[in-house]
Parts: sequence; structure tokens; C-alpha cells
Amino acid sequence: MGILLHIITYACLAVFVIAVGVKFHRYKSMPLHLRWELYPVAHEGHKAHYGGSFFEETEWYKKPRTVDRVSEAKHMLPEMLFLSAVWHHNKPLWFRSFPFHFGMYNMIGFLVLLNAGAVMQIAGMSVSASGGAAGAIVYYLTILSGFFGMILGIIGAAGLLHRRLFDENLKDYTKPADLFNLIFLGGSFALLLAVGIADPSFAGLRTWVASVLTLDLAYTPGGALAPMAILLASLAVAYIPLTHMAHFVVKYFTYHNIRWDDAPNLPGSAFEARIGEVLNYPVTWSADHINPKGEAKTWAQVATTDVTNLKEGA
Amino acid sequence: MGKTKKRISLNDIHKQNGQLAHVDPADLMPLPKPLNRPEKDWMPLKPEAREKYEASLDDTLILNIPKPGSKQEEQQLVRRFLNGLEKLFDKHNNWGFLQPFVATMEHCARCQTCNEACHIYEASGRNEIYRPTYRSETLRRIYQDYVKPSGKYHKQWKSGGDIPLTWTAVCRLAELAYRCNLCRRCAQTCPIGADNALVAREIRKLMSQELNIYTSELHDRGSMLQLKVGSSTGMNPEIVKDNIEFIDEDMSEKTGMNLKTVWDKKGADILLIHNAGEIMAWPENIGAFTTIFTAAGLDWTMSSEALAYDNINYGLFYDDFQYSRVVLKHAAVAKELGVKRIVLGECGHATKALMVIADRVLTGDLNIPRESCFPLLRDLVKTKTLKLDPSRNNFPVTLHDPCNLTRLMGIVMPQREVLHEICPQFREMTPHGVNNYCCGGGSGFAIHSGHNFSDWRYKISGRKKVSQILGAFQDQIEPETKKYVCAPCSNCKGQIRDLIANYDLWNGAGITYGGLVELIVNAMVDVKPNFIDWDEIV
Repeated sequence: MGILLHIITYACLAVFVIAVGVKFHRYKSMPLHLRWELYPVAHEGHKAHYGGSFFEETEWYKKPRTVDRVSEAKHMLPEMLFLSAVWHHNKPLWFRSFPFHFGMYNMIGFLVLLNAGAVMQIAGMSVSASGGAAGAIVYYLTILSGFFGMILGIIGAAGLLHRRLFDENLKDYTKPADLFNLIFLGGSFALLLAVGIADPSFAGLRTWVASVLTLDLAYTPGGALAPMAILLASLAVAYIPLTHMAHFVVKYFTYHNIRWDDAPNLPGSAFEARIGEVLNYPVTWSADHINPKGEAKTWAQVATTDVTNLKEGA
Repeated sequence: MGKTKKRISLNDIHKQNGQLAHVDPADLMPLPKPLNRPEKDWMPLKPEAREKYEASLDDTLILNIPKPGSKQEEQQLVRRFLNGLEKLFDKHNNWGFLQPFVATMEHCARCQTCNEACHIYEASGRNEIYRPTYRSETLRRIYQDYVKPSGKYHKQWKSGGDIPLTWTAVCRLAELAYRCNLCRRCAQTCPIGADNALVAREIRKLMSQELNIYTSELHDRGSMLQLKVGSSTGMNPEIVKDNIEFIDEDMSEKTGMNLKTVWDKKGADILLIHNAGEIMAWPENIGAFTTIFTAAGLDWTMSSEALAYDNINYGLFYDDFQYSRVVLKHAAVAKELGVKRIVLGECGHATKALMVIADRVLTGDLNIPRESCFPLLRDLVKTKTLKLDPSRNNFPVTLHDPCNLTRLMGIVMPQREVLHEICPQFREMTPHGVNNYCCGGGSGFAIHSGHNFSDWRYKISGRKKVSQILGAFQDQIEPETKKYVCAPCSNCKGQIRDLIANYDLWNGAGITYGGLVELIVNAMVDVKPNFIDWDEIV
């Protein structure tokens, strides 16, 4: 039992890391795309607050470009932590989505603290109310983040599930996978909460994490609840990056690589070589004004084709 | 979030059950005074049009896809659509938009946050098919069901139900791609960064680049005419020069200045490229530029080479290759002339096309510096290069923000700084700047009036803008107070002209429209008074 649970846990962690890596790499290795920015662009410094850009200057190409990373962080942090875009544009959703996401963040913190506590335990330190300053801090923060995260996660998942099931605007757009995702994650939170109620210090889970870190495969958490919670939580960790919930990876690209990608292609810039590469990609679009004879042509060849003799409708 | 009035399911798109959606005029978003009255009924689509073309989406028609003669034809269309859909996800065929498109197709959470940002959805009384998510979710399900390699149960699990891919579904989806202004206001609100407006554009592209399906206005009489003759207005170089000469004469008389456009000057500082539609419809805009550039003593020229006197680029709205062909020509002419920079006249989509999108197409000596005219005009006003008397513009003025220039380029303040300087009664619309609403003519709609499409453009896509304009002037809404909507974009100006005419806002509320340069010239002390001639408007 203990061995199987350990293997599943390791496998799920591996799936998570690989899936996130593959997803990131897939987006990262997509070809250069055309500029498609959307203002406000957060790194535009003092212009960011009203959505201005360097295009507001004459001869902008002769002037130094401002890329204000502090301004970017000021925009990104509220977005990541508090879902500011949802707050501004869809408050009914925010009251459901924020607890769900913030619950998740707390669970990540909970996992980090469990790991920290497990390392301390392995090092012979005590993680308890009377375990010295460090031990007590980790002990109390683990309890706080755990219960806070689980309760918020359950509230959020239930709220989102309710909305998916009963909001007329969403019903037709809801897929079986959406409902499953919320039930699955909500159920995982609930099961972990039950473990927490049975063992409010999370000592059992901490010992389990220590066994994972030390490859102590024989260790089995006591009772029926904890193994089930560990199993479900591990599966959830593996499952998330395989679904559209992996938007935590993609959001990096949609913001930094698309919405805020206003890097100009100045003469001699690194863009020129990349543009040269994509312009030489072969194309197979077959409309009459593009490649009516189906010849092997590159993007640049099609773009420079003389169309003056094509008949109307082509 | 508001409730949707009419419940149409995603799956309904394939059903041959007559018109899929209808907007009851009573459901339309109410308008402020003096238009706070019931909306007129739709100008109906003629039965012949419904007989001849696939016209079963809604109350109007833009694409004119002929009904197929046989089952084979239907199947061929569906097959080619699927071929095109695969190409949208292929890095060679769609490098230009692959990353934003795939991110949207894979990660839209269908939370509907974007819906309320859409002026078309709101103005229609929240008709289901006008949700930004309706068309993208339909495409997503078709992709998952027919193109993406995965098992039957996995598809059901991920897509939530098959949409049988019929000829009707393909045609309705194509038509639906032309019920979006591509203003990307929806994308601005997306917490994940998905872009449902891009999906509309990519559907248009698929239909054009694979199936030869586009609107005649954008393609045959648009980008193709421009590539063949020199301008989508049909003007060849000789006609353009004649027309500009006439404008110079007319404007010299009107301003009292000696105006003469400079042609093909090698090594000039500025190559000015106008939207050639201005030459035909708003010659005073062209004349105002000439007046300002002459008065400021700028070293500028226009080009009489085909295409280089017309900055229009309709490919931006529907076809990557048509778009590229035009920007390459613009850049080649600038290179040939040896100008230091290109300055784009008052045209939003053209400015974005040549400055932003072309930025990753033009390399080497074709990569000529390019600028919007607004910063230049702002500098001329703020540095007092032009002698201006704001009291000449002492009437209520509001500003329409062209989406391409503001939300999609971040050019927000220069035009405002000019207006604050020269228009004592300037007031903003709500909202404005990067949060503005599209005029409803965006993505080329302003040049589409076939069948009853203009009726749709007035009642639905332009409705929010009418509401905003009236809102900005509510304190002086009586027709006796003459008011000016500054619309510094050719496409937007055409739409606002049509909205004013349709709702009779000149007679009903004293509202007219024009560009930014007309206001500047109207305030120039070296120019005869009344460049903006209110009597002419009547």
C-alpha cells in the first residue's frame, strides 16, 4: 500500500513537471508572430496608466525605449494574486473564482510548508507549538495555510460549479470536463479538509512528505482518509497541467509575448533574422489569389506575387 | 451580467431550420435623447437574396455565398474548410498568428467575461449569436471534433457535444465572422489573455485564403483593385494627381494660402500617405493636411506611384497575403524615394497595418521609419509652430477614439493634447481612450452597404457609438447648438457620417463630424475664418 502510494505520488509529480515543461516549451518554440499588442501595455512606464505607447512620440525610433519592469510587476501581481481583471470586468465571477484560485495559492503554500516541516523533522528539529521559533512558525503557518486554502478552495469550487450548472449564460458552453474538473478539485480539497479535521496539526501529512523526500517507501499514513486524500491530491497535481487549467503557464505568453509584446523591429535588430526565417516557410493555402496552381512556394514568394493579371473573383 | 433574451444553442448552427437568429427592434439597447423612442423595423432582406445566397444566420447578409448546386459542392466546401482549419494550426501556414490563436483556442475558459465588453452583443439586446464566445466556441468544437487527433470519447469529454459539420454550419460561421468589428475590446477584458476577436479574423482568413470567400468590398473592389490600379477607390496615379490639384486650388481659395502638393520629392523628410477615400469623400481633410504642412514649412512629399498615395490596407481585416502585398509596395516606394520617414494620415487601420503589423514583415532597407500623424500634429501645436486661435473652435467637440490607434497602438494623448489646446468646449465620451467603443464601422464594415447590411451597421454595430456621442452632448443636445464629433480616422468617419445621416442627428441634435486637422486649420489665424463651414453642412 505504502509503496504503491509512493509510486503514484512520484509519478504524478513527474507528470506535473513534464506536462508543464512540455506546455511551456511548446509555446516558447512557436514561431515569431506578428505584433498583436493590446493597450494598456504595463511596461510603458508613465504612459501605462492611460494606455499610451512610444508611438505617441515623433521619431520614436530614435529615442530610447522604456521597458519598466516595476510597472509590469505592479500590474501583474494584483492580476496573479487577486484576479484583478475578473474583479474589474466580471464581479459575480470574481466572488467564486477568487476563493478558488486563492485557495489554490494557499495550498501551494501549504505544500511548501509541509516540505519545510518535513525537512526540519528529518534534520531532527521539532515542528510543533513548542518546537522553538522556527518550528512554531512552520507549525502554525502550515495549519493556517492548509485550512484557509482548503476552505476557500471548497467554497470556490462549489461556487464555480453552481455557476456552471445554473447560469443560463454558461450552460451551453459547459463541457463534461469542466464539471469534472471542479468536482475533482473540490473533492480533493474536501478530503484534505477531512484529514485536517482528524489531524489538525497535519503531523501525519508532514511525516508522509518526509517519507517521500527520504524515499521511505514502506511508510503508510494511518487510517483510510489520509491515503485517499494523498491519492486524490496527487492525481489532481498531475491532471491540472493536462487540461485548459494550465492557463497559469499560457498566461505568461498571452501577456508577455502577445498583449505586451511591443518590441519594435529596428534596423539591425535580432528580429530581422527571425523574420527572414518565417518568410521562407512553405505555404499551402490554395485560394486563387494565393497559389492557384498548387506550386511549392514560400510565404515571401506568395507575398511578392504580381496579382495584376488575376481575373475578378481571384 | 445581463440575461440573454433569445436562447440559441451552439449546436443550432448546423440546423437547416430557417433563419438562426433574429433581433427584435424592441430588444435593441435604448438610446439617449433625442433618440429615446422605439427603433424602426428592419429593412428586410429581399427574397431574391435569400433565394440565391446562404442567408440564414440573422437579419442581414454580407458574404453572398451562393447556394450550392449539388450535394458534392456542399461536401467540397466542407472539405476545403477543414483543410483551411488545419492550416490555421500549422506553423508554416500561419506563423503570423499561431501563438495568439492557439492560446485562445486552447485556453479560453468560456467564462463569458468578454461578452459584456462587446458593443455588438450589448446593442443587440444580448443576442446569443453575437457573443464573442459563440463563434469561437463553435470553431473550437469543430476543431476538436473534426481536426484534432483524439478519440471519440475524449472529443465528447472535451467538446461537450458534436456540432455536425454541414455546409450550413460553415456558411453561418463564415458570415458570423463578419458580425465582429475586430476591435478587440473583448480581448482587453479577458483574464487569461484569450482573444476572441482574433478568432473572427482567423475565420475570415481561412475563408479567403482557402475557399475564395470574402466580401467583394474588401477583396475585388478593395485590396485587389488597389494592387491592380493603385487604390481601392479606383483612382490611378493620373486621376489622383488631377484630384489633388483640384483640391489644392479649392483649398487655396478657401484658406487664402498658396497651397501646392509636393509630388515625388526624392530625399524628403516625410512621405505623407493618406487614405485615398479622403480624396473622394473628404477633400477638406487632404487640404487641411496640405495647409498645416505648408504653414509649418515641413519637408514633405506625396508619391504618385501606384498604391503609395493610398494607405488603405484591407488585407488587415481578412487576408495575410493581401495585407503583405500592400505593405511591401508602400515600403518599396518610400525606399525608392529615399524619404526619411513615412507619416500616415488620419486612418486607423492603415496606421496599424504599416506601423505595427508590418513591423515583422519589413526588413533591411524596406524597414523605413513610420509614424502616425498625431504626434507630429501635437508637436506643431504645442511648439506654437502654427498660430492658432482657439476661439474659432468655440463649439462643443467630442473625440472618437479609433480602436486601431488607441487600444491597438497606444496613441492616446497626442490628439487630446491638440484638442485641449484648440477646442475650449472639448469633452470626452464615456468611456474613452483605450477603453473606447468601436464606431461600428471597424474591420471594413463602414464600406459595406450591400443588401440591408447598412441597416445592421446602424442599428447594432454603430448603436453604442451613437449612444456615446449623444451622451457626450446631453448638456447641449438641442439642435440649435452646433456640435462636432472629431473622428480622426477615415473608416470611423465614414461610419459616423452614416450614423448621423441615418439618425438625422444634424437636424435632430445639431451634430456633425470631421477630422482633427480640419479643427486645427479652422483655428489657424493665417487662414480665412470658417474653414469648417456650418452652412455647408446643411
